Amino acid sequence: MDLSLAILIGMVAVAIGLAFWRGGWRQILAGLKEAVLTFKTVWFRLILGFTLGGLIQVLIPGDLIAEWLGPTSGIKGILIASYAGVVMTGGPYVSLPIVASIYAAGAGPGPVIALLTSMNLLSLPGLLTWAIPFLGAKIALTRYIVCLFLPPLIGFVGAGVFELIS
Amino acid sequence: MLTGIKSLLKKIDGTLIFLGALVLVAVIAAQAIGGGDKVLDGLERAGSLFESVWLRLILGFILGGMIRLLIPSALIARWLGHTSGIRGLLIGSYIAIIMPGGPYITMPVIAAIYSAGAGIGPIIALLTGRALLGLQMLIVWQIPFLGVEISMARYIACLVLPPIAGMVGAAIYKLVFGPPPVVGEIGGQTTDADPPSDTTDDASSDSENEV
Repeated sequence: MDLSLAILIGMVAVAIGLAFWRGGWRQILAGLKEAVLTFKTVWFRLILGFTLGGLIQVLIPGDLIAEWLGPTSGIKGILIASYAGVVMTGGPYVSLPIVASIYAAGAGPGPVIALLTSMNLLSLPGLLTWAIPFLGAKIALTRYIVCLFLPPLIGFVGAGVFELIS
Repeated sequence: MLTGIKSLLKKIDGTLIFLGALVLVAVIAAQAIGGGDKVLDGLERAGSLFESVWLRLILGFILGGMIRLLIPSALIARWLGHTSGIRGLLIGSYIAIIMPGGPYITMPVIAAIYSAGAGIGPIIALLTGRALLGLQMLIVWQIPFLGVEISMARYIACLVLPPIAGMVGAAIYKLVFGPPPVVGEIGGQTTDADPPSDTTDDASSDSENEV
């Protein structure tokens, strides 16, 4: 069992303990009922989201992204990196090694920071597999649109901060 | 049988149509690029993604349910509701820092907070904060892979952005979709059939009475 699963189990145990302390088994049952209600709302959306996530993975190869980025620099590098994150897939255990290899290949701090940001902020699989099924298309898309212009901005500012602290 | 179809039809909303259309496009694209094998490969990856998260997802649902119950709607409405203003944006933005875990846990929890009456702005701030300022992401993944300097430079550059994203997001939502659904603030009634709000509200008011 890995650490994140252990932390998660610990949190659930604390929450169940708190619920029991507040109202006994009744309260725990009521909490589980809430969980089932959320599940009922999202299960079908989740199936579609996972299907999309899988298909995007086979449609966009990760090594292509590394190739696009290469050791680019300046505005062009930041802009490419800012939107390469849109199609990057997989959890951090997949994406961080890719970013690390791009960084090691000579990409500047600006593009690397822009890429890190867009991976987390603009990931299409993240939007389609998680945010939309759980929160609905309206609020998930609004957040996505607002964040569209942020990665290049953060890339520029981050490169400046990097200069200052390094 | 008929009720089964009926309840399935009832599920069809904008979100489902949007996702369904995208799945269709992706299947056609995969078929065009690599034939049936490519489609199967994609489905297999979907399966392995599901396999890797299902247990965490169930735990996430349970945690979301417990939090929904343990934190009264009135409290969430007061701190994160539509009328919470700047305070709501700031709380939403920065509680995300300590929210651990992947989307399988944060999404059920955020959905629970949303259905309990949080406003659009604070929810968008929370989603943005989670993506940009999660401490776990920084410590467990970015610093080990990329070093302290570049990870901290990115983190510092992002610090002030989530509340701004929340504010702008709320304004855009209002502009495009009209006034947001009022959840949890008027006796648990909701004026919108969107997200979990429609199914969880009645049950929650019941369970709160039991406390």
